[in-house]
Amino acid sequence: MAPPGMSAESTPSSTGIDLSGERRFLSWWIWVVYSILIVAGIPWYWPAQYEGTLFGLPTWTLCSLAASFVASCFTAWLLMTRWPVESVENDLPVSEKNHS
Amino acid sequence: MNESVMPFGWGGITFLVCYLIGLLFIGWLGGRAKKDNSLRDFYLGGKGVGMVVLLLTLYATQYSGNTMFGFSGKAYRVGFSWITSVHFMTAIIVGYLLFAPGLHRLSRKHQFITPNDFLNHRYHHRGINIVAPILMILALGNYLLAQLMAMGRALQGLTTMPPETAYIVGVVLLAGIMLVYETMGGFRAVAWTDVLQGVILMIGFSILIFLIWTQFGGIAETTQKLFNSSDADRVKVLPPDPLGSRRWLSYILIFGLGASLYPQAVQRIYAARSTKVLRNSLIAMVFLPLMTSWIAVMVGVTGAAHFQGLDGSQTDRILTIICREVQQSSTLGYWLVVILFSAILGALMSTADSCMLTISSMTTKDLYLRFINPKATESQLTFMGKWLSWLVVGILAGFAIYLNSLSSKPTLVKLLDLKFDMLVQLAPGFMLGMHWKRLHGTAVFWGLITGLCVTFGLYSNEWIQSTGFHHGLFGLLANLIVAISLSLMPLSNKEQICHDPKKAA
Repeated sequence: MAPPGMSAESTPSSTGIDLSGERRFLSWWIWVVYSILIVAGIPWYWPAQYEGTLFGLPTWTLCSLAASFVASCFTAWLLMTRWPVESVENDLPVSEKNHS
Repeated sequence: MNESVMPFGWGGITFLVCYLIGLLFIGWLGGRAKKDNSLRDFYLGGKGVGMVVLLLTLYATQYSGNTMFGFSGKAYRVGFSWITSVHFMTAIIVGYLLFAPGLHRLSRKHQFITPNDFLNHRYHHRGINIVAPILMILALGNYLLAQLMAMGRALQGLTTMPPETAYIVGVVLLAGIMLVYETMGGFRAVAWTDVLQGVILMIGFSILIFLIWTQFGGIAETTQKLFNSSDADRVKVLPPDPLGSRRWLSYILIFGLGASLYPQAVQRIYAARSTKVLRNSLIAMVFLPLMTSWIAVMVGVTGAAHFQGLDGSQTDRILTIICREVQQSSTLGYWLVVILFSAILGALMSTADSCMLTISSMTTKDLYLRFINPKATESQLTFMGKWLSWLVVGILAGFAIYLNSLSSKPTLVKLLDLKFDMLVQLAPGFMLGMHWKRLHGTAVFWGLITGLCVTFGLYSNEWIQSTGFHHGLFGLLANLIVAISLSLMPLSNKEQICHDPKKAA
């Protein structure tokens, strides 16, 4: 749920900040995915004296690294798909826009 | 056990000297590329940098002496559990999702230079304008101090000088070189030297993984050796206990929310030439922990298996101990260590010079210009910023030398933790403030003060330590409660006018 004062359709606010572009990383499911990856990545669920190995590494280590790799891929995907490259006009300083 | 590398011969020393002269030359080129005497040109390189420079400067800045010495030292102490570092370095990029897109866009529109420029633009609050820059300067000062100490330690043993003398020479010489190239070229010099340092750092990490594989029989042998060790070392291959797991989560949270607010990294968000450049750099950055932090962990764990018995701050030297072993083995090993040491110096200097430049920019623009001399011209401020760098580094170098003379030396990771406990208190102002328009300056200010009081008030509290969570996270919780509660309270008419620029106008 959005915090009070945060409307779904945002416009430039009294703070001078247009919030429309930044919310695309705030969808609840994105942070659920990250939470799952954190829970999977921290090896809290392995038996205390676990000695299994895989490819020369403790197995729990590989699971942790795998979760980290998935988190990296997910983040890269989010950046690629949800952060559209703005036009040059939007990148211009206020002073230059006023002159153009 | 000898904890230093063997003194480099003339060949190795010549290589290092050429490398350091190369840095000065790049600094000189940065100075020649200067467009004007403005603050933006000196601190952000004018219109910004492209993808390759941004990626390598982000990389060289974020992976530092702490990564090479501190992370390998910590992995020596706790074992494979320090894979935590792979997770939390990834968490930094995830933390950017919360504010970097908006911050970059605003910085282009409003020509921000320092991190506090955003806070001032967003809240117009005098208290924040005083506390936030001081907080960031203190946090960065702590980080710069850690880098200077690591520089001294890196140089110990490279020459035939006594270790204490070598430490002092290392701190003074390397800090001096950084100051010279930064004074000549500002951000361009720092970013361009970061390119060279970043490339050598990547080569250095590749060499490290190669050395571990060839010199110590690979990771399988290391794992088995630790499984067959005494209980104190065997625990380094076992999954962490519940306390270790909570600490792991704590590191992810404090890095994701605190390290993403590194002031020097925020300035690199400003310095990206375009959104595309920033986005693509972050996409590349998110995979680098697997190729960098993970290798530092392997170094520490390999050291724990093959060089047992180190203690306290001695463990931060495990990398140099491994290097000594490799150096003695063959001529190839000797030259690999020479290149690796260049990478280590690169990692230290690239982080330290960025901290130095950011401290200088915040002191001049956020404190001197805003509160002491609002009529100062840009060229006066640029001039002042250059000399402030010399003063700050001079003081911190003296402090680094003093700390090394103490019998109980602080470990690098301890210094790192302290910084994040402070920086994370800025998260509501940047991250929540980017999305929630009702959050106002007074709420952020009192949240920040509460967070800092709770963090430092609880610093020696044993119960907090027993939870495994960083003090800064308890401070952040208090900070958020205060900031959100105050923002939800109805404002008086007078306060509404203060917080609403449209009404004020």
